[in-house]
Amino acid sequence: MTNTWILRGIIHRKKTEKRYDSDGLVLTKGITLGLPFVKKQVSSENAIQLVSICPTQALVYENNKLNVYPERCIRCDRCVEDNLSPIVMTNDQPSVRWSNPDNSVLLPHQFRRSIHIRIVDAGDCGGCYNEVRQLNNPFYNMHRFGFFITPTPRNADVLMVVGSGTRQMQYALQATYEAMPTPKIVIAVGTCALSGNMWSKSLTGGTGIKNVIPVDVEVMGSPPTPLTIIQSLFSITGRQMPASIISSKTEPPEMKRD
Amino acid sequence: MTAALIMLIISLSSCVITAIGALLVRRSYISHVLAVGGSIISLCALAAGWIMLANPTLQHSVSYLTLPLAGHLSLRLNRLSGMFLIVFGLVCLPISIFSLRYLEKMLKNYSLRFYGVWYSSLLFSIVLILIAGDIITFFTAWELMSVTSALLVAYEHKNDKGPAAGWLMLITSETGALAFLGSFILLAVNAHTLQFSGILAHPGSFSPGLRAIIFVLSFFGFATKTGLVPVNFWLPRAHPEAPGPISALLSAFILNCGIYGIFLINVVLLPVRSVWIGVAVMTIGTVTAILGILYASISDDIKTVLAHSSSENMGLMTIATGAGMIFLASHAPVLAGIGFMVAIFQMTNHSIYKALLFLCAAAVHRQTNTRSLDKLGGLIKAMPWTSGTFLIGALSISALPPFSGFTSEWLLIQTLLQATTLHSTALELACAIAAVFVGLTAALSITCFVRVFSMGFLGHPRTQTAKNAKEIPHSMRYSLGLLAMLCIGIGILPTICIPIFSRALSPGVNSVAVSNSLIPPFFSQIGHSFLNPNFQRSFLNIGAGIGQHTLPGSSMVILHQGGTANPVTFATSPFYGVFVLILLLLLTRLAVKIITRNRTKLTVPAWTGGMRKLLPEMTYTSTAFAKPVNVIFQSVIHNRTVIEERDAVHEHFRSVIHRHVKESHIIDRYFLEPIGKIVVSIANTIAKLHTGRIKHYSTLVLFTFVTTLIIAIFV
Ligand code: SF4
Repeated sequence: MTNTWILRGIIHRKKTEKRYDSDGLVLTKGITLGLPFVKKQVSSENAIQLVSICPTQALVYENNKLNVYPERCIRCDRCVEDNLSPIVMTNDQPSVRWSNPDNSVLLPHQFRRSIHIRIVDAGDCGGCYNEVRQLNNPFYNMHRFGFFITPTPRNADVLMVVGSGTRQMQYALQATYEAMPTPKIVIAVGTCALSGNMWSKSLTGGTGIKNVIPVDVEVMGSPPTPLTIIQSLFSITGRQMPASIISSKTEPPEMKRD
Repeated sequence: MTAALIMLIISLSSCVITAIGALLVRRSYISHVLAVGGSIISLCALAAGWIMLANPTLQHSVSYLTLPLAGHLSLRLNRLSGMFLIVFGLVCLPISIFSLRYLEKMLKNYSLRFYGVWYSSLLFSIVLILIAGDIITFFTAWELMSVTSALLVAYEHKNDKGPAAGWLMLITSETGALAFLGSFILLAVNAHTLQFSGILAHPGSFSPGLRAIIFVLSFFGFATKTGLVPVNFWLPRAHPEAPGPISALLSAFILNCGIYGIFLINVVLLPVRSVWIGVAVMTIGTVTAILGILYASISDDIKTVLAHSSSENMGLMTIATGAGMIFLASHAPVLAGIGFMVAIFQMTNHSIYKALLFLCAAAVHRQTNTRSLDKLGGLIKAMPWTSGTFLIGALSISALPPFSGFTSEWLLIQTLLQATTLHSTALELACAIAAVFVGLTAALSITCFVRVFSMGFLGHPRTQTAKNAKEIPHSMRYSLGLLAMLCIGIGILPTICIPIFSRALSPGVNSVAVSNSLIPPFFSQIGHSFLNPNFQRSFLNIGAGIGQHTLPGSSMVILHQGGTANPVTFATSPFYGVFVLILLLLLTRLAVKIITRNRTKLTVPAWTGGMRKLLPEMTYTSTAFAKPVNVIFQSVIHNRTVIEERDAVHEHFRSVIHRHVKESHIIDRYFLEPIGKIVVSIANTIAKLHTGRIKHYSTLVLFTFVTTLIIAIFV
């Protein structure tokens, strides 16, 4: 029997993770690197140099400013390797964000206590999906919050998508979205689902699922931690609106293809 | 009585005329001759049966021939045969009409001349069995029936399975016939007469041991025809192979002949006096019912499903008969009458819905050329008439109100539960267990027929032939419609049918008492002798008497009466139930409409798991649907052994794995195969005599000669 977590739970009293630290921030410190943040502006040569080493065009030099779009970042750490780099990785940044600035992302009050989630793997490498799979294990135990995974979109309120939306999966994704009853929320999990990651340059890789179906909630990180994903679910049920959710965003410039 | 006799003579002579007509007319008109002849035969049988059942004259024997040694041969007209003749007529009329167009398909490959002859001889023999008044007539008619039905099963001889099934059927049938011939001989020897009426007049001359032997022989003999465990192995093999109308006739009526025989010997001629015989009959019935429905739930061939389910229904009838025997032996005549009445009720229902289902299956086979459920599907769009009538038949056989199977199965369970009045723990336990199994059987039969209907008629067509199927011609539709109407009619008005059925077994059973104990006289006067007036009034207050001035019968409620403390143990009313059902459906519809009035409705394509196109082969198949039953009852069914053969190159590198799946029925495994082994081993032992040397053979001849001489001298 490998599945002895109930026994272990009884022996060790408790296995589930806390969701917040004392400051009310999502517990991600030490688990992930965090998201890049531009500390100070630098000269244009340095900036262009930095932009050129970013593999996913998360760093953009526009209007004489170095901007970073965290939804494209894969935390490869290339830009912060140099100690003098103007970019730092920080955990203070929000990892969950709503695509629409208004409250239309919030599910009606009937869904406060229980939502059903349909998970679609739209061509991910296994990383994000692995994190999504952790949601059900004893450490994160999503069920205790009333979040359930359902195998059919007919019963689902939330569509959680991982992967870049490859060409093969675009029809299935669309069909899944159409098969869901309203109100429906789409959560895009991971950099691939948000921007297509490095594959966006290829023909069949897909450039993020927002080109296929409308995305309501973006969960950043490559992959995001399970707690972050739970965070996103909490935000759409309206049970907790932590400060880490910003509702405004600027669209990044279009990806350059080779 | 003479009217009934005239009807019977018309019926029998039209059999002969039909046979001659089939031999003489042009080939393309044979089916017409058969349809007209069959209709006349069945209508006359129906009329004769009705006259016999309604007539207060109880027994009537007409001798028609005097043989030098055996004495008179006679016909015996009584109510039991009247009841069976009615069922025969009700079933045979639609079958004859149906076969008019069905036979066209067979005409391409086979000459129908001898089909016509066998068919009319079969009808002739059935009518003769039912009215036979002596042992010789009965046995001759029985043999004629066995042979002609086997010939008809084997009629489509161009496929291999038909003749094999016919042979198997003939062999089992003859074994059974020999067995009950033994019991007949014992009866005749002890009563010194060949007439049934004569045997009936000398009931006292049988010792208990003799009675037991007669019971065992006759029950085994008739059980082979009825399809009871363990001699029902021929049934699922023979019925699917027969041509459509024949399998309908086999399942819907010829199985009943066995029940007729059981009734004739064990209830009418020599009423059972031992409780344990009743328990044995009930046990056999229970095992038959449960095994039948289990195998029906997992078979793929639609006709095999129906054949197994026939076996199940025969089991239910046998349970009812067994319960009746128990009550008869424990001196509870009214309850015994109810038991036998339920058996006849169930038999009538089964005949009607099974004829309907088999004819529907024949129609499907005619239009699509396949009987495999896995290859059908979506027929409801192509064949709405067939599908609709099949649905009615399936609902009836699943014993759902307000269709015909419901009341009989409900009464069966209630009657079994009445065993508490017998004050014998063992009997109570036996009856309770039987009741539980009847419940399980009913539940499984719903599963089974949900599967057949949903996989065969709903969903997507799985093959091109199923997609291109066309609706059957009009004459076939009418015959299906007739049977479907009978299903609904009996289902809604059981209170009118029960007095008729209960009359069948009089004078052995007090029919008035039986029908009165089940159907309270709500429509007549208040304060009837066997119902407390206050109690009756309280029933009337909740509406049991609605329609008392317009509706026929004595009420529309069936109830089982208990003692004085609780006067009613159970009550039901399918007639009022229909209205309640319709009302409930309408109210539910209304409620759903009101609750969902503010909802937006989205119409999107069916969810196909993200597939671009859902291929029909990908849909749920009948095999998949049967899987849960297969898994749950694995220990009972255990129907397949997989034999793997591994081919290897140089004994090491595996190249091929051959998998042979061998399917076997539980009866085959535990009954047929051991018998086969014993027979083969005996044959092998005897074969040792055949040494091939002339001196051994001449010794044998000498030995035989001497033994014969010794026997001749001493005996
Ligand atoms: S960490 Fe890597 S992906 Fe993220 S901004 Fe820096 S270079 Fe780009």
